[in-house]
Amino acid sequence: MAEYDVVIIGSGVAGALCAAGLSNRSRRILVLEAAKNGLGVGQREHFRRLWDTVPNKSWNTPYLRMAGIQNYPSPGPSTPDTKVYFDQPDALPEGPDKSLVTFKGYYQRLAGGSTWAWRGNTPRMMPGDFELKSKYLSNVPAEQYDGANVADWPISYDDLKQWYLKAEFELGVSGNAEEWEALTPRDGAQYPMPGQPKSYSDRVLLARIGSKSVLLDGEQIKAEIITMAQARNTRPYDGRPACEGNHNCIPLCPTNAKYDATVHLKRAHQKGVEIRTGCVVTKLEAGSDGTISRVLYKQWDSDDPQIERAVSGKIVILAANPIETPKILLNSGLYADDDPYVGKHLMDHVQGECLALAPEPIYPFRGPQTLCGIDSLRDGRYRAKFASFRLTLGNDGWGRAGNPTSVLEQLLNPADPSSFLIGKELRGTAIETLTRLVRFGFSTEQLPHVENRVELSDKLDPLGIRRPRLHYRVHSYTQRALSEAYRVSKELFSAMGAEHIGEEEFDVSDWNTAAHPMGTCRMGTTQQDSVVDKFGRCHNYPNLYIVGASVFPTGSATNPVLTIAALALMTVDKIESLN
Amino acid sequence: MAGASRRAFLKAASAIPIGATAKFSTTEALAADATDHESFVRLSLVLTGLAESEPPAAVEQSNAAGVLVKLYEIYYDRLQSAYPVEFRELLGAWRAVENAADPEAALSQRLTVVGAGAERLRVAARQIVKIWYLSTIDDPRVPLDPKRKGKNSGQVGGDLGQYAHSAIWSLIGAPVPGYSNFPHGYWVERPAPQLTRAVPLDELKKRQSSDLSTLMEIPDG
Repeated sequence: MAEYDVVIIGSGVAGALCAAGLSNRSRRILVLEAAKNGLGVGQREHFRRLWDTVPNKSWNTPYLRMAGIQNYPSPGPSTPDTKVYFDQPDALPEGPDKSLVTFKGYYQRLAGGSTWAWRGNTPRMMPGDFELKSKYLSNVPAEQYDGANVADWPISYDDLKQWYLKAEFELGVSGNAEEWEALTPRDGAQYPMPGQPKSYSDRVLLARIGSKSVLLDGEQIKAEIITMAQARNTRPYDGRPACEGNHNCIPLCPTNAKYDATVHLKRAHQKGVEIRTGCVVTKLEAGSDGTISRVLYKQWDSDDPQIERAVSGKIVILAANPIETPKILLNSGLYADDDPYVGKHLMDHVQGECLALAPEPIYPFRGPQTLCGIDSLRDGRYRAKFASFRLTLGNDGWGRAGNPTSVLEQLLNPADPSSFLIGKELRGTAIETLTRLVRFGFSTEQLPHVENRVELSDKLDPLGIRRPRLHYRVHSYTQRALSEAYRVSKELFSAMGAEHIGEEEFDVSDWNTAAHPMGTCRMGTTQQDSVVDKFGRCHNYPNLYIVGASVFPTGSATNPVLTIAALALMTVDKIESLN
Repeated sequence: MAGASRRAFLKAASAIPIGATAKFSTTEALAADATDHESFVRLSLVLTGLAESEPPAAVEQSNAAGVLVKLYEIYYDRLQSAYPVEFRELLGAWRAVENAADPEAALSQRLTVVGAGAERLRVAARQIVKIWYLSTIDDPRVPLDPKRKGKNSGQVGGDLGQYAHSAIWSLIGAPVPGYSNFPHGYWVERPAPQLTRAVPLDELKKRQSSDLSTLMEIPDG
């Protein structure tokens, strides 16, 4: 059996940062990755060509034809009746509240993980996010927040601040420090690059809305449109070019101006780390000394994919994701199925959209898909009553709800002769509509509930590994935030002079996923309240570390990647200090 | 199309230098022979509302036999293959009105009639607009869901390179997603009516430093 100093399972942003951070020529490090894809320019161009020719252009379009993907299925953004990977017994097609009990999140099983297909937004969590329980919920009846099992983080914003800054330099984050200082204190530290230039549409809408406050549970909070901090270059950085505004961040940045984890995987590889692809980890085994002694996996591109192979590592880092990580732990028998923490507290960012037509052409679809947002609303006293939320000012028309294809198709409905347009009228209407599309996307916090969980299904994947069975619900605390965010969005559109399109009230069953799975192996102080400590080290198995969004005790409304990265860097530092 | 006329058409079309013009060659290469391609080209302009200079008509790709052919020929073949009945009927309807004083109005009248025959014409017209604007057409195996008001989940795409010529993006001043080739920050500016070239970098830097009031005074032209 091959023996390594470090075995890392999964090669998304957390695993890649660990691999690069721990690599040196004297340390044997192995990364086990389920997928089998390249990391370089050729792979990127191949994905781009797939995107070019595939007609249904979705978030995962370039990755659907991956070699061997049937052996390591990746969940798609689909309804439960068509879902082929997750087992969701609660989400029956005929259920009355089907939408509210369906986990809609997904991720990409790739070398480089889901960072191949992300928008690149990298805000920090706010100080209050780390102490939601003690700051906002300790004196509130539990039923007000649906009896969620909320815990403060075992670290504060100040504890993580230096790692946030380091992560911003590792990923290459562009941002305007002065816009963020009051929200997420930086002690004057600049981002490695200045923020993205605001788009024409952002500037028009910013000029129209001015400085406006909104009322949230009796508290006036200023709604400031600011430039998103993004892991997207505004100048050449780390060997990657400045963003050319391909407007294709999801599913694929064709130039790598936007960070993805291939950056650190390549760096790790150059420093001697072995990246073994096509390897789906099945189990971890514990030895008599209470440490993880073996990592078992199946290699689907081998002669006999069903054989379990084994490696050992003095240190094992589990960096799959909040679905796959607990799946591996439970399948290993390291924790009981009814363990109060492993697999429990599955969270996502629950999203909605508010659509409008701008009062003048604002020309969306130019530049990155997102450039600006409103983050000042993320924290406030209202969190005692409903969830935190942030707003994104879309630069992508109506996003999932409206784009050139859908607009044209509605103008060309064969079943409706009275509104069927051709010629100059069609052209003019299409241009007039498409250049005025504007939307606020809102992303809300979901609290950790024990019953929102990952279990092992009796159904097997093609390698004979038990698939994830999910139980999930969007609770009223989050539903109220969806409604409030919709109301605020309408108010802001009104201030802009934009014409709101849609229902007066938000239909909470119409929520969508941010595809930000979190929770399931929370961090805390003891094994009585958590799976890992603040460094990601398992309480029960001292040579096992868990990195990634699995360890989040709460999810805030913050895009998770920068926090994932900061925590991973903290884990690397801890491992180094122990060795 | 008869073999001889098709050969004549191809010969004439191939005389157009690649990339030399973005115009349909309605007056030169095609005028001598009233082929289906000619009709298709003129019908496409009427349906899409595109000016002669706007469609990527000079683009060529290899067909299955390895012969370089024009994009409109490829599109013609794709439509003929996917919607043979509807497409032929629409071409026939078009020929009946194309010499009218206002062919667009005459065609529109034919298309807005209630009934199954007219609906087949609308299906074909929709595909012609979609193929030029988006490079995709509806998957003929997937019926449109009446509840979705014309939106369709089944699409059929073209070969490599056709997507990058989807015309709708330039009409709204945006690059085809994934094919920007513009400098960083081009998005701060309102687009020119036709986004046919990149803004020079020096000019862009000047514009980035301008305030919004200046920005908004820039005329459409």
